[in-house]
Amino acid sequence: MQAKPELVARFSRTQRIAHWTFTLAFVALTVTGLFLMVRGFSALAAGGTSRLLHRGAAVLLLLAPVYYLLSDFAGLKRLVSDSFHYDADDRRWLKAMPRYVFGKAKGMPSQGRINAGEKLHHAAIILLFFAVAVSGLFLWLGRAALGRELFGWMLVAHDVSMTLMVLLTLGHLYFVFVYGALRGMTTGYVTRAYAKMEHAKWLAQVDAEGRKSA
Amino acid sequence: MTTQAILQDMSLCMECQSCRVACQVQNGLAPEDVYVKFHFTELGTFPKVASHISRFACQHCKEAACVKVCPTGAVFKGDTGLTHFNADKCSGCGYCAEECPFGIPEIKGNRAVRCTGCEPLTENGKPPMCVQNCIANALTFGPRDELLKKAEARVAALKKQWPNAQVYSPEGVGTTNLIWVLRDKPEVYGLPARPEVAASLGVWKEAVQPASTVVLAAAAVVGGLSFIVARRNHLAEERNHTNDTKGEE
Repeated sequence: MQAKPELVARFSRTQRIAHWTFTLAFVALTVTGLFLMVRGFSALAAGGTSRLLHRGAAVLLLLAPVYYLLSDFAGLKRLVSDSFHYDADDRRWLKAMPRYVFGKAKGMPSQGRINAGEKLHHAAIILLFFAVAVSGLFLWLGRAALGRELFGWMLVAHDVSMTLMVLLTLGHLYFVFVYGALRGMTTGYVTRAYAKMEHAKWLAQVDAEGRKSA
Repeated sequence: MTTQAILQDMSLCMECQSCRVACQVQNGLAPEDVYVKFHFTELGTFPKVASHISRFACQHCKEAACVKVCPTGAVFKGDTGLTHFNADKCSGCGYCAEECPFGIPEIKGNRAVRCTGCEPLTENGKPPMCVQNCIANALTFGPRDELLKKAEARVAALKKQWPNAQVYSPEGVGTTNLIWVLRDKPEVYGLPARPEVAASLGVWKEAVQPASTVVLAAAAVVGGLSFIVARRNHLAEERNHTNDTKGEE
């Protein structure tokens, strides 16, 4: 009989709630946004119901990081700080990334709680979040402040930043399912084997802290 | 079909507003909903004063900002060159109202309130209802070339009494298929002297939107194919890893 795999806590309740709130809003925004981009879907935008949904989801998207900030300020600060700081292992990891893309995690440089690819992903999402939010708020509430030319550039900014975010999300989904990482964000726990293969440096840190408190 | 146009001769208009009523009947509009609006002008100082009410409706621009910006195709160009509108496709986003250089479309509820170019009539060679109903012959419908010549001849005659008389069909919007004969400068009628279509609209509609669609679709396909390979590789390495760990313990 196989023993139950040993689990390590990876994502807190706050992180999971923030993540899935953001996800729900983002999916709704992407779908309703595509109605205005892909002509084949435009019949679904007729009547304006999708705009109502889009705006409701936009509020939810803006609230997700606010919730994270209020519930666990230190955690959000660490996430942002981690996303913009890369050590020597991270740089080596990024150089070796092509093999990781094709499903080979073994032999990759040892990584902390967030691997270098995730760091880049987060950093880009943070920047694009502001671009999509600012342009979106102007298109919704700030029309009077824009001329005809600037209004058009807001449409450009909104679509470009959102397209990049969707591309990043496709990449995110890709890695989640290649490496079976979904459970980490649903239950908050990962197996020890997963942690050892993907985040060895972080696992060592967790173990050291465990010994200290024991 | 040759490009059709509407000639609006402000030297003939008697300001009766029956074009508006005819339009409302034709399009089944509520009294407060209008496709044909009016611009009110007051001129001079007492006791030498004058006032004008000028028909102010869709200009049927050749390079129409509203057609360019409409994300659902509810506003579109017909074979006649007139601009048409299908309310069933309208999402009420209001982009046309933002981008029209003449400030004509309005949004009410979840749809635009704007001229349809009387599609069922004009596509069959008949004048739009506003023209049909004009009792002063200030509105004429016909081939654009002919109407333009007529407008120029009329302006030449008007110049004797009205030195600022002019034909108005501005280049900035690729010229308009609503051709005005004005007795005075465009500003007097509430018209912009040099209306232009925002350059950003072309970038958005013709570059950003199609490119984004293609890039996202391509990423989904390439990602899907690559996923099959990557997942297989990782499952193999996970099996080896489990065996290795067992060996260690």
